[in-house]
Amino acid sequence: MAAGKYDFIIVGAGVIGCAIARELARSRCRTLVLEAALDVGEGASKANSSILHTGFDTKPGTLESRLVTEGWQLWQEEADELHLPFQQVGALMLALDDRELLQLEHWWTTAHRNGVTDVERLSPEAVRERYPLAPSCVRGGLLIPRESITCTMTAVIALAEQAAINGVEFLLGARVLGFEPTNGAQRTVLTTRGAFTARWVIDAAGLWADEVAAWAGVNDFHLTPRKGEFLILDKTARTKVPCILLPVPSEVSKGILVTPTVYGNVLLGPTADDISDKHDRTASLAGLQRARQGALRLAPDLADEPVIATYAGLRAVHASGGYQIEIFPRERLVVAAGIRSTGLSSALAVARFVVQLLLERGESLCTGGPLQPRPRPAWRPGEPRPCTVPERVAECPGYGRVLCLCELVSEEEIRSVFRRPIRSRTLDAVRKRTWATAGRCQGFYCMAAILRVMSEELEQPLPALVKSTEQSWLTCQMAQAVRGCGHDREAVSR
Amino acid sequence: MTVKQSRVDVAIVGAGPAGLAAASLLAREGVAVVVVDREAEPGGLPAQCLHAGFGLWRYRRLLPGRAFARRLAEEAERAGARFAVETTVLHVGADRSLLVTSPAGVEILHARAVVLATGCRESPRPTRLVPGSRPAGVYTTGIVQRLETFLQVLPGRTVAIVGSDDPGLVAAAELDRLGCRVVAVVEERPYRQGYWANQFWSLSRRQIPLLVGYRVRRILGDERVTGLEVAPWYDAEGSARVIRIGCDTVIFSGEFLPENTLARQAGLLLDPATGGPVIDQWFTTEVPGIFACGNLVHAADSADRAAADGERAARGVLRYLRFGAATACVASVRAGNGVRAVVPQRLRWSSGEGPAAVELAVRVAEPLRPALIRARRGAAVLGRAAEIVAKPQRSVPLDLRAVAPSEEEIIVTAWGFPLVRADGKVGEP
Repeated sequence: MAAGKYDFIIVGAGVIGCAIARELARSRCRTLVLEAALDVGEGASKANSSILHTGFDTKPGTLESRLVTEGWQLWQEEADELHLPFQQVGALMLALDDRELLQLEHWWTTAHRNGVTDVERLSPEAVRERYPLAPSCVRGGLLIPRESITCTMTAVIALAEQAAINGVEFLLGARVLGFEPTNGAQRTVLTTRGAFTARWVIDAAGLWADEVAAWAGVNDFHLTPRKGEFLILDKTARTKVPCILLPVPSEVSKGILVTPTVYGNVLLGPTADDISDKHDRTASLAGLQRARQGALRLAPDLADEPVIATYAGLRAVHASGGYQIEIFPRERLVVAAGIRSTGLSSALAVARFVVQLLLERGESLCTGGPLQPRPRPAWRPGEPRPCTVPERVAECPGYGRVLCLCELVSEEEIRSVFRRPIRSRTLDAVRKRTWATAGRCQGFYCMAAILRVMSEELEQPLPALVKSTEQSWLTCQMAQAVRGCGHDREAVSR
Repeated sequence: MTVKQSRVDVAIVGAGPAGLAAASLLAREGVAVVVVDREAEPGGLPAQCLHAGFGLWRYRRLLPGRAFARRLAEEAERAGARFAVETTVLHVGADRSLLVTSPAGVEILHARAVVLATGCRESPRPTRLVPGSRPAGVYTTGIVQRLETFLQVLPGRTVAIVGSDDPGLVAAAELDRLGCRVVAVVEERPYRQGYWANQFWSLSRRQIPLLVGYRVRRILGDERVTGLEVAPWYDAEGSARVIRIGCDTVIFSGEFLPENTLARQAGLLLDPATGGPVIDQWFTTEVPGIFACGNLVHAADSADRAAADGERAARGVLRYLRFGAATACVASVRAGNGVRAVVPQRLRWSSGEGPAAVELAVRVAEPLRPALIRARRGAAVLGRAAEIVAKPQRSVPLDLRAVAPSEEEIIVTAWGFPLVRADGKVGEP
């Protein structure tokens, strides 16, 4: 890593930071992405519901509304080239009483004002035709046919990988500590891994965007964390959920949804609780039960489906409720903040918007430049696993050695994680890229085997391997005296 | 690309105790058997256990898990069973074909009979809805056994175990022996799940405290576990008697679930009470020619019991290969008062067949001390069993000497004094 001068430094490798990095890569300028975590997409981007929204329910006329609508188009065009799943499953907003039925009309109008004109009002019979297991009290529905699903983790990785092979540098594990005073033409960022100077700093720090901006001298906004708790159900639940199921939104949030995932599971959540601690990603029993209860209103048949994973994430909420994307020439800072849960949908459009802002400031950037394609991953969510495809096993025997039984992840897929453009070294990185240990057994069968493969690929001893952060060690050394003594005992007893 | 196809008499899925015992018996009878397993060496869960405590029924001595597994595998191999290791079954068809994958390629195996012996696994943390953060250092006993046995590393230095079933108690002793400090074993239920002997040998002798009736309030720690917060089970949300246990590792033990993915894909009827396939006394599922045995049908009993199951399933397979499926007369076995589950759930007779001797595996609904278990058909009592302490976590065997062919339902009931009294006190040592 050459600690030299850059054109742009992006703070934060979430979906927004990576999308901006990829957009800047079109112009062949020198770009550096700084990320505090040991992998890309470890913040709010990780705990997204993976829906690509059409923007039908956004506030008409806002920047968010425009960027979400535009972002959906861009994802649809680029998903395939990025080797990303893009499944247009559609969404069904269910009205369960008369009050909600009246509100459907409001959402129908909103959708039309947002340019989403293919929404359709459904009678209770038409709802049941599409969703036979609908609750008996359903009074009507709104069909939004273009709402789609992808995988939020894969999306960030895809953007980062394509940026990286097009010349963007990524520095993982570099936490921003502050800024040196600007001289009017450039800015120096101080991090835990050294100081870096660029002509522009782009603040895409998600939940921490307000703090980063404040260090740089921009004090005009504040972000509050909003906690969302999710439950993931086993794949048996998938057949009961034909599409995304939405409640009629309340004043506060979109409510608790039921979402099919590209992996074939079903996601319940999120809850929405404004909290004060930005580090508090803990799940509470009350929150998880609330997520479950909320989802069961829409899909009562999921009551006895087993939960295979739970998680909690924080999304950044701006005081205005919307996005703030702004350039501060005096501070040499571009801020992309308040990008809440719609950030996945809007990411590509946000990136273009940021480039546009820079263009207006006289930067010579090109907008439609070609990019080297992202190297094809061993597997992409939604396609058959390599171990099930005879041609692929014949081409590489490692694809036939299945380590994670629940998700059918082969040894070769796990090894390939460490040969990708973004080299992460954590167990969570393996999980995010292959979905190994994310199935119903959560590592009961495969975790030891995966750690062995990681240790071989990284050429590190097992106790040096971590789950997600520097201090999240996984195993420790056994004293020499007791090592293997179990095997000796066995020899004696034979 | 054409997929290689091959034929075999019997395909056994899973080389654990049940699968290996079935393979031995079938191979001795001259049947062409292949045992498919995804691990590099056969043995199933016992192969990852360093501790002794296996084989008392089968070999009349206590062996370490790995030795027990090795003996079973050698027995099967000597008898002539073929092993397909590092081979994963992707799908079992109702036509008894297996789609398998291995480094050698994808292959279809056509069998005259299929035995599913896929065993069970523990419930991981998410299934238990344990609140708190998600740091590194939260494992299940199964993962820890594999870390110890195959990688020779420890899960951490200071360990708290949640779950007092036998694997949990033994894990406490094993970790203590290997140099970890086991600070506590926490049990959510108001009684210990495992045997008293295990508590004595594994915990008392090593001065490891057992907290019975404490539920996990949350897991503490940001990057790595720093502790565990527990509270008495009757203390609903209050924090009057919260205990904070300092530890860097939390191990969840027990709450076994059958590994029923293949069974479900094959379209077998599952018993909601066990989670495993519905079987008859010959271990036949509702699809003729597909058998299921071991901890897949009653998770989780001992490895010895699984091996015994395997042998009996093998006799069922032999009978099927020689005479075909028994269909003349079917009776169902139902769990009555005080009973959560009974295996087998069906009894079947061929035409002209006489009374059958059947062993039922009965799970009580609540722990009883003592327990009296009865099987009735109408007014007639078919068999009785008594158990000093019966717990829902292990099966009580109930022998029925001679059950005459009849379609009339058999009902199994349990009666006894509740082990957990109304005040939450437990009436056992």
